[in-house]
Amino acid sequence: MERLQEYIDSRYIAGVRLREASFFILTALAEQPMHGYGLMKAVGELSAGQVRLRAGTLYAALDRLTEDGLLAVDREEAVEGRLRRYYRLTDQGASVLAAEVEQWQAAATVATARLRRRGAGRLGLAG
Amino acid sequence: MSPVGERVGLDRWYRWLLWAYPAWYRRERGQEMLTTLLDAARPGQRRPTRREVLDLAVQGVRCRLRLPRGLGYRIVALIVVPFGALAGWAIAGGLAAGMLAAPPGEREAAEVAAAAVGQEPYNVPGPAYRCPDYCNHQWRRGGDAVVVFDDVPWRNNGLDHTTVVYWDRDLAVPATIERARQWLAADGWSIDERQFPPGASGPFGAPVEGFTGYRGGVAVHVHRQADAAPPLHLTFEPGRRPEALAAAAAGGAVGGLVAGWATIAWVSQRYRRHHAGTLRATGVVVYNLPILVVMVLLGVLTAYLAVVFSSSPNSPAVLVPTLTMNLLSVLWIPQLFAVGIVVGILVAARPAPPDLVPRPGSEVGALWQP
Repeated sequence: MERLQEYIDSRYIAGVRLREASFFILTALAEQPMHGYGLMKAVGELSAGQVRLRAGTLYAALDRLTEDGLLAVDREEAVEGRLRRYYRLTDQGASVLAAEVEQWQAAATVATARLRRRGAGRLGLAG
Repeated sequence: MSPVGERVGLDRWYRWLLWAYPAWYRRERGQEMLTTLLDAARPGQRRPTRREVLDLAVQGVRCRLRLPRGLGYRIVALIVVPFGALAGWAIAGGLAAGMLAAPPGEREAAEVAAAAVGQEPYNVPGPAYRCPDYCNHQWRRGGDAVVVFDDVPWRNNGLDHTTVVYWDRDLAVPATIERARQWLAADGWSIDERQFPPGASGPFGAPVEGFTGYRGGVAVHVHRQADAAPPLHLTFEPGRRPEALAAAAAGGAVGGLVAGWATIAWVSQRYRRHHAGTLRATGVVVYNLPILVVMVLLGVLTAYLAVVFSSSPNSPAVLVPTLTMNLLSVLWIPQLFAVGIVVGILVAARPAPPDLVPRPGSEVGALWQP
């Protein structure tokens, strides 16, 4: 278990950051399990239309995240004779997402502070 | 068309597009993806959009070419894929070199030579020699000749050739070479100066001046050796510009690389799906035996073709340093080592399924884990 956690830490926290699509997929699943089409819609809404996932890209991301243990299949349903598979966030997935959010928040704080100082400097010069 | 009919038509289109994915993936995900695709379709949509087609095609190919995570798979790919590229290089180069025209016969060669040089060889057709086996031809001093070499496969790449020789020293001057160059160029031959660069020397160190012309799969080497006998040669043999053969070989290398990668990806995916964590070492070796056999065969083929290429003046070897060709000809030695490494990895690292966490301190399966 330690090794798996080490791997996830090195891959997602100290090392490579989550891709934008993966970030929004994990975010969408943070509240409740969802199926493929639900995820496509949720990612579009959460990203304010910036990330539009198509089915091929969505399932490539789902494969990757499931393989890494960040997602798991929650249940399967048959709707009008067609298969729907729901995915849920695992504990590891929640940890990775939380760490990612923390990093973005820290980065955003630094950027905001610098912009404030820049704005203050300009005002000072103008005055 | 009714909404139901539209839906059925779209369903067919998506099913067809999902063929971009491997069969095992379609079995696992196909129905689910189809549901998602149909859910996401606009009302009244009859065909997939261009973006959908591109997305499914790209992701399907990526899925086919994706290696499972794990160091072991990467090491095996690192060993197998370069050999695939080398084999593709050798096979495509060999095929391109093999699809050449036969050299002209005595009479036709003599006619071209006469027009190019401006003088008919004496006594033509005169002495003509065929060498059905190894032919250590002795030129007849003082007599022009048209010689047809019917070569055995292990000599001169098995390329038969026809040589017209002139003994007239007054003819073997730079002006004759220039005249032949201009006439052949005007006759549609592509002239290449690289075979006889300035300062080149022939047998016995005699300086050589000349060029090579290419047309329709036939090459003619025109050269003079002032201090040698006979002093003026026109040799016709199957050949194309080295660039053409090199392009074919390079295309083959790219094809071999892709094929090698696709093969190892397919084997690795299959291996991981069916046998990870269940096979013992012997089973692993047996399962991978076909790919190991193919690797050895490709290595032998590459080494053989490297030897053949290095003996032909028309082959891509012209553009490849001799050292590289010599290294290729002994490729079977590292090939055997590579096979040994692959077997060693497969035997040493018993794979574990992707969801099995190794026991603390255990290295079992480490090579096959992400």
